[in-house]
Amino acid sequence: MEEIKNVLELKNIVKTFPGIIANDHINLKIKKGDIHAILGENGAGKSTLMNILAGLYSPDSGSIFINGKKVKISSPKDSIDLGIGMVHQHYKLVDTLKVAENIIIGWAEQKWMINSKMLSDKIVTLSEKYNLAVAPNALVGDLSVGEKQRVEIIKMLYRNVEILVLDEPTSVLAPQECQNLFKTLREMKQQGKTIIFISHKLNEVMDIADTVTVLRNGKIINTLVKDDTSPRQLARMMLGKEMEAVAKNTLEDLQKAETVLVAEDLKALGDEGEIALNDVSLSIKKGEILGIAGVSGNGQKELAEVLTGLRSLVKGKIFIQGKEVKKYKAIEFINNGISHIPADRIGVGMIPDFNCIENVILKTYRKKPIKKGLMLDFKEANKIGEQLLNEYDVRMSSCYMPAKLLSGGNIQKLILAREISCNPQLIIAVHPTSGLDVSAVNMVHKFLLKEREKGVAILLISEDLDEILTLSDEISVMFKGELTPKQIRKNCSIENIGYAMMGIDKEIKEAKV
Amino acid sequence: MIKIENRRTVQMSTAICAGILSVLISLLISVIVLQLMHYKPIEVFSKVFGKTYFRLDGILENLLTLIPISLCALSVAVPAKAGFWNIGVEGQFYMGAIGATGIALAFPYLPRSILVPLMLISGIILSGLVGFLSTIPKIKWGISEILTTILSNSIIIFFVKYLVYDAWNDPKSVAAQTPEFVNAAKLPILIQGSRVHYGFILAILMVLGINFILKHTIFGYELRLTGANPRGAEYAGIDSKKYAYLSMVIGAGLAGMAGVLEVSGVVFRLQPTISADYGFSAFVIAWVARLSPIAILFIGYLFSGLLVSGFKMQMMGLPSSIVAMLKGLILLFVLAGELFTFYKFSWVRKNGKVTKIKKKKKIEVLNQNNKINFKKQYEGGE
Repeated sequence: MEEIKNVLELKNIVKTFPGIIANDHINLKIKKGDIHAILGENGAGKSTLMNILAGLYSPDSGSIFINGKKVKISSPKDSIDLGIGMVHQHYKLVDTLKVAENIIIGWAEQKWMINSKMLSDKIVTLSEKYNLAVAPNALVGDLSVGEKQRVEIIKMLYRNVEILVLDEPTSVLAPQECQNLFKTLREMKQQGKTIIFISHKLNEVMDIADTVTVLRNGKIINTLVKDDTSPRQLARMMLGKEMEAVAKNTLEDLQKAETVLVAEDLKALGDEGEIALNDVSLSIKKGEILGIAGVSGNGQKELAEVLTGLRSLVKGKIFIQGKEVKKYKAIEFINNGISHIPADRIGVGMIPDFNCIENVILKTYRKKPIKKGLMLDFKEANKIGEQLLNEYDVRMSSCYMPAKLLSGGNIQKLILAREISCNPQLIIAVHPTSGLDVSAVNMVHKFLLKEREKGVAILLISEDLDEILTLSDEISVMFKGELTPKQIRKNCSIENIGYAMMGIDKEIKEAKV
Repeated sequence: MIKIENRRTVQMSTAICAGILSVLISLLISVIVLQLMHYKPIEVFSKVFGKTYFRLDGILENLLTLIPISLCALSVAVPAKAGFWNIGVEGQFYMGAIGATGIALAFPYLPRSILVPLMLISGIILSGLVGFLSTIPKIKWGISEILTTILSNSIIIFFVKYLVYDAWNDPKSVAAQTPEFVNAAKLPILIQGSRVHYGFILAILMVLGINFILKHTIFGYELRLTGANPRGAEYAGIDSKKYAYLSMVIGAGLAGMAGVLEVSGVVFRLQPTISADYGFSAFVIAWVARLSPIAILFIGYLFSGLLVSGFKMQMMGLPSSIVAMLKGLILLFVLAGELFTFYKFSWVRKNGKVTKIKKKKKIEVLNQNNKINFKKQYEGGE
């Protein structure tokens, strides 16, 4: 009889992307009427798994059972027909249409005509039943993020889904809105619907879930009933084992070293105009690796952009080797020896349609051997470029092929080759190994450590705690636009950093250097 | 159901085949249309195209048309390389003509060696200014340059009308035009026995010069960078605003130069009809040539032939609307051919019990192919 109680079952799901295994033999049973949380760090494979359920990806192997029956999901439509509804992290709504119009996109009861009276009645009924206040005739573009989420949920309820998948639903909500969302979810549970709740926030999972599954590196670590576990146990499972540090600098070494960059009270706005950096101060010394841990979206991207002149400051000062930066322009920072390995490799870090040579000289073409008066000496560029690409082991069929055809690891090696060839004082590396396979990760680490040996300062911003703990001399944690005071690596444990990352306790603030 | 897939890389051979095939199909359809309307298609085509493409006088006439066509296409290509749409070529062309005409009418007593350069400078500066003004709203307030450049066309064309009907009207003529230029303001003929003037050399120099600048100079590299990935360019420390303004000013200046050459080399006065829609055709040519200056020269030549043949067909007694339709057909097919070079179309059957098995097989085959492609792509890498 137990078989029937599982509304959804996944058997041996495998999904690979170039160079990484996103889901490695996932076995998962989800009970009817359960709120089942899937917990894991970014990149653990949660979203991939759910995109398989939603029909956006198809698994390489493995099977899916719904109510004990084997099914094949090859498109989002199949998924909807099977009663699975997904609310994505980035909402799939059309801003210029009304709420009601958005709700019937892709799946409408009336095929040819829209009876707007009937439709809005139904929406109002649903919204009252589940405590989801929305106005059917409002324009979606005018709604707040929380309201948009409610529209997404109603859209799924309108489609009569039995299994609702929510991908990081609280990442954009205010605490008050979170509570409302949880109320709705509990109501839906009462009605017998099954909810899959994806999150990396421990406290929320403890609050709402009945069952918790922990994913790490694409594998399921364990599935537990919430009442039988504790936040500490879950955090341990999420983060994994502690790695041995390669950091060598002691506190004295660092105190002796020359300071490369000082940032004071930086305040900057994010893309949506929200405050992304709130009075962030930091300093970094020659030959030091300063690791900044944190779940992405807490201001790391903005911090890197501010420190490379790509984002303007609202407040604050930046000093490079004691000299204050006056013009906040990228060229100013490049000329002052600051290299940047951006988080968005393809969108920012390179010119996809240009060939590998043109990409590798992207920052050095302003200097002598390549620059000849007003001209670019491509002969020289080809010579230097080819040498660099070989030195950094960028594997390609030809130097003249468009860089977009390189694999992720090789793109990153190309970027490293370029950034290091500028002879920097400071390298700002943002998620330098995310999405790369093991050998590429090792390469990147090797090159960064080699630069450190030469006395280059490295600001390592990463979500990968292992990476931070392995490489850094000092560690700081970023949470909601604020930076904890840095501490020497020796005094950090995976646990206290993990807690600071998830904002579940502030111990790290007290445990100062 | 038709499945459309993006080809990741386009082979030269595919592009050429698609181009030739689309021209042939368009000719075939034109033949059918002409036949249905009781014109003699074979005769029309052999006479018209034979004359324009294979006889000396036709070729020279094509070269004359190529002057404004190639400059106008460059005027689209330079901003497009930097990531901006210049749809104001027609207006900028007329602005150049206005600048030249103003000087020619104001200083008729100057010798040619001073007057012609002055006309060029005035035309280029005026049209460059138009390009500059159309870019300001984009940079300051994020208003699309497509809008501002399109609207600048209407303003300038109406301004031309005001000039030819009123301010600069030729009192001796009833037509809407300015007085004819003095001889010193006319460009000398380059090839005797034709109308090809010295502007031809200037146009070729511009094509080669722009090609060189884009490919071999720091300026060209930075300009292409800005167009290919604006965020990447900013990351590399490039001031993208500078390239927005400069590319537009250069582009508009080139269109202006075409206008100057047209009034001082061919028409010898300002008229509201000096452009045979050069500015708009330029857009098509620039994109069919994939923005490459050298390709613009060749595509532009073929296109000039089309324009010239159009006039010839009218002279043979075909109504101008039919000529316009034929030109449209050929263009439509060339552009549709573009679609086939970038996308792959395959027929996928939908539903049905029998086809379902086939579909599965097809998917398996597809997967297999994907795996092979995938391997090819990444084995080169990892």
